[in-house]
Amino acid sequence: MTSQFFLKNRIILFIFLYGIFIPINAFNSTDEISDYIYDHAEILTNADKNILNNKLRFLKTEKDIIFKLVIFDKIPDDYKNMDFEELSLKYFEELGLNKKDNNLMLIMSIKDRKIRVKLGSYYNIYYQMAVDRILKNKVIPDFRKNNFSKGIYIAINDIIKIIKEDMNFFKYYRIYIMGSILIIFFILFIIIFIFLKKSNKIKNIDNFGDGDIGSWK
Amino acid sequence: MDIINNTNEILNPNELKLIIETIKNIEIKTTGKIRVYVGKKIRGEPMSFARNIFKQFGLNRLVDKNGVLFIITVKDKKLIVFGDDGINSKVDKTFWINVKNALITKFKNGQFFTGLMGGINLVGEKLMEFFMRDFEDLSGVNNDDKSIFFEE
Repeated sequence: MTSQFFLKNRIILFIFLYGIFIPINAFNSTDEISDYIYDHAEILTNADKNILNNKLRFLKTEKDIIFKLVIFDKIPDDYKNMDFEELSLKYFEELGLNKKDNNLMLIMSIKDRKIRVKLGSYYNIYYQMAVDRILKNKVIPDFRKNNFSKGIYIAINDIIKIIKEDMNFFKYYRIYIMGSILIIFFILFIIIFIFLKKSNKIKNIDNFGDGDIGSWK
Repeated sequence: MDIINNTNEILNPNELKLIIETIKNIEIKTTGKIRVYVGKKIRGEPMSFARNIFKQFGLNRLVDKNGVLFIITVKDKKLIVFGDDGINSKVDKTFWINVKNALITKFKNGQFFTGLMGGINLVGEKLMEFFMRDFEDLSGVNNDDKSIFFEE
């Protein structure tokens, strides 16, 4: 009876400790991080890497898209003679990302102040423009302030959102298109208003009545 | 003609009483309203000035939009005859010119009472032509003597 009681308690204790330690271990696990993140500059903490890795792994599972992140402190000597565009293409191939047309890679070199997103051939020009817009407007401002992990996090997050969309001319330019439509409507409204006002179809509330004025000087 | 400094100098009490009675008689028979404003000077653009006074009298709130306002300003010797959209849809511009001329002809000779009575009667005729009140309907008829206002 007593041994049964201790056995039960041991099982409960085991389950309890397993419940606590397994998630912590999972959080600290780095065994799969190297699949997606190549942080040669060591600017990301383990926690950052875990969060980003989970996102990239989920993208692979959900959409079968491989998105890799490569961070250099400075461009390696072997690649010094290449421009960054060539380097990113070479790395893209070296990492085997060219095997499928919907893969992509974010590559950056901290000290060289270079960053690129290399997209597979599946993605049209509007994806590239949208991604470049994110880098320019959202990521680079953080990098300028040396907030690298924040900038990288934003980049990964927003780029994933974009590649999940069906990007085309109208989607890329939707803000401009909507803005233009609004401006056109506004101008049309003004023109119609002026036209109606001139043709007296709209009467000012304070423009009622009529009469005549004279003087007996 | 003598210079008039005070607005209440243009009419004596008997004349004033007769004008008020005349306006009241018109208002009993018609849905229109007539108001007379005697001031010192027209301030700003004349028609805007007239519209402001018109609104102060509440003439713009009439259902048939048939209020009529006479503005007489004694220092700059000016006169405005102003009617709302309702009466304007029934008369043309020449009507107001005729009313104004009828008043000015008399005012030049200092005959304010005669001129004003003539103008009020001309307007009254038009109101009776187009805006006769229904039998036994006396709604909106004022019993006060505020149909004429003197600026102090």
